[in-house]
Amino acid sequence: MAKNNKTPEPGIAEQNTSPGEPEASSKDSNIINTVWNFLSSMKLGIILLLVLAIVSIIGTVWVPTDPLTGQQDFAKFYNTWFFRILLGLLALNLLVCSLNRWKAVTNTLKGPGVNFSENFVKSLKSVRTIKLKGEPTQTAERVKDLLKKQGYRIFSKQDGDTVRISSDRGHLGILGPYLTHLSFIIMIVAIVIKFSGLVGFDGMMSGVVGQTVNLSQVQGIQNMDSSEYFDLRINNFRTEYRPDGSVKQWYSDVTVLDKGNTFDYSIYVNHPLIYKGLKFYQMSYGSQFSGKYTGPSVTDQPFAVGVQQYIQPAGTDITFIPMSFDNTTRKILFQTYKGNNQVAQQEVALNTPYKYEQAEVKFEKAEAYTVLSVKKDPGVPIIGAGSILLIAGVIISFLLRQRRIWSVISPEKDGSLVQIGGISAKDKRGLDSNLDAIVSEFKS
Amino acid sequence: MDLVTLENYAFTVTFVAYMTAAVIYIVYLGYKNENMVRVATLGTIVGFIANTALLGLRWKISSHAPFVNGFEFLVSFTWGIAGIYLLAEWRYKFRMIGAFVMPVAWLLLAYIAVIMPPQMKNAENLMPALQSNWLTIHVATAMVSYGAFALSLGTSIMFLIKQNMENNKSKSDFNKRMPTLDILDDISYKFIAVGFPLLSIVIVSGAIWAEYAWGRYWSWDPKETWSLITWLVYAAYLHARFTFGWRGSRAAWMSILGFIFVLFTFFGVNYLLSGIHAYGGS
Repeated sequence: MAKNNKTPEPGIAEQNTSPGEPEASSKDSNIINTVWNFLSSMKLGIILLLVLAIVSIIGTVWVPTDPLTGQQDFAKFYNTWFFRILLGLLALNLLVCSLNRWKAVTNTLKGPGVNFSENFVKSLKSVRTIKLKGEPTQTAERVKDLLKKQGYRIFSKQDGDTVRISSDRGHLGILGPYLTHLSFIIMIVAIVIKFSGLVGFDGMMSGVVGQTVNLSQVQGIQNMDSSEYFDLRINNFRTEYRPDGSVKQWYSDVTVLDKGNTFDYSIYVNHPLIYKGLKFYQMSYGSQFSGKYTGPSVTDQPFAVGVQQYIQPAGTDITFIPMSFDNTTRKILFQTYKGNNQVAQQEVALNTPYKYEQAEVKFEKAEAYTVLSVKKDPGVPIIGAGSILLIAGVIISFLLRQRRIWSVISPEKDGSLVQIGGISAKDKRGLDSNLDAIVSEFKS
Repeated sequence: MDLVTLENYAFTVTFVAYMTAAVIYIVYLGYKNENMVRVATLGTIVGFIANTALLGLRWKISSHAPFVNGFEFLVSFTWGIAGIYLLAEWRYKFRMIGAFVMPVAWLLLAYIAVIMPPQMKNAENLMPALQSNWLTIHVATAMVSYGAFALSLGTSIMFLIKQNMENNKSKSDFNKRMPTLDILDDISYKFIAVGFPLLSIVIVSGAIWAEYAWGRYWSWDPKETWSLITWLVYAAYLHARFTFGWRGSRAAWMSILGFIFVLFTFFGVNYLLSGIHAYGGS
């Protein structure tokens, strides 16, 4: 923590020490205290934020390649033990810091104490002194009224002729950072749950139109009791186009079949099926084609290929490449190549032979299939709750800016002396304008 | 007149208005003339209206919120900057700030006009992954947030200039007309305090969208990571400010650093780093 002299300096004013409540001194120099103080220190927190920023930058520049797919793996760097230790330290720092600040938070919510000295008020940076006619008690009532009008909570105490008033507004703002820090801890917990591998999974399934797929056929399914498995029937896969030919949306029409609970659902991009904690996302699609081809040296040779795979009758340099299958018209779109040159592109109905020079192809069956990614992550609602807390906390921090004002009204010759001063870390100008308003009210 | 022609006119008006405003604000730094600088304010208002019309026309033409390609992002960004600037001018009445903010908006439009290839400016159809209301929230909050950070950048630069003059005991008229250090520092902070919660919403709404589209609320895509890095820098700024009393020049430098990160998230990620999130430009 920053050096905290008795005189609050403007920058350090955020420390929620009211006068008469000195911060716990850390003179006990045993090792537990030292470690505790280190872990709770704001210095560590800021350093961790900046180190995380720097390390994250490195991770976006130095991206490892997945040896299997040859693609860049962005997440890999952030799943290393080194990065996890950083996150763990941040979580610990936030936790310890939150525990440490608990007392300060409850004190702030309770309101500033009234046992403060005149010297304390004089030592404040924002301070005004006014001499007035009238008794201190009457004057104090006017000060209270003015403060109340500006939205301050009032606490006061009278010692003989002297009245002390402590007041604050925006005190709930102190909950803001607290909620934000809590949200981080919650989110880190959710991430740890996800990467522990003990709950949920990240899987994939594919199904041909008409097929019923059981969850047991999902690749990568785990952490789920097989008695909870259900079936998914793939009724149709559709691609919706815009008039200009661009893809508007991909749909997988499915039926969930689960022990008497049966319902239809259309899965499309940005519209996953969510059922029993599982989510099904439209991920990919394709078609399978089977049939027979004939060439100079072969007759009615069976084949089975996917989209953009080659069918080349032996003894020819002709290649047929199926591109897509339209489930509605039941026609196959395919290209014909001679050597390396495309010579034709056409649609042909099922079971209709197509001949080019000496090569002939006949598609007998075409099936559209869809690929869904299947996920279960019990951490998602936790992340969601954490996100809401995060935003609530950040908004509260900035919307409710704590201001505290202390006033001492003491008797003077022919009247009373008002000494009024305050602290606001986040809104010094707001505080000053409150003080000025009070002064000008008295002068008018 | 068809909508696309109208859209081109709107762009031209925005461009000329912001340019005029930026030039007059800069001249105003050295030459105090209140009538002249009112023209700059008027220019900003006209530009802002034209910018709004530009976004509205693009929305109509593409029939989706204009937040998808690099062109749409940038004209949204300039809308955010000009809108936030007008708010600040109305609130604080320091027109000198305009000289440090409006050139940023104008330069972004100049980038579109001069460097951006024409095919990247056209209205495009939305690919299925982008068809989400969360995208609208995501980008709409981003432009206001980035606008607020741009304003803070402007006042932070002013702070450093003013501080330099104070240190040299400058008695120039320019120094006297500048807002005080306290005010500049306060305005810089206030707009970061606006931008930061919005940036949090940007990141969270992006994560929600990714969860709906791909089932991954966070995938360490470079754009995501850079928005987080920006968030971390501003978070460090706020903590340093409240705990160690980092005000003045150190706070100003951090605000400038933060905006460099905003710009990098915007441009650098698209042009220097690759990733699945490359909708913004390339």
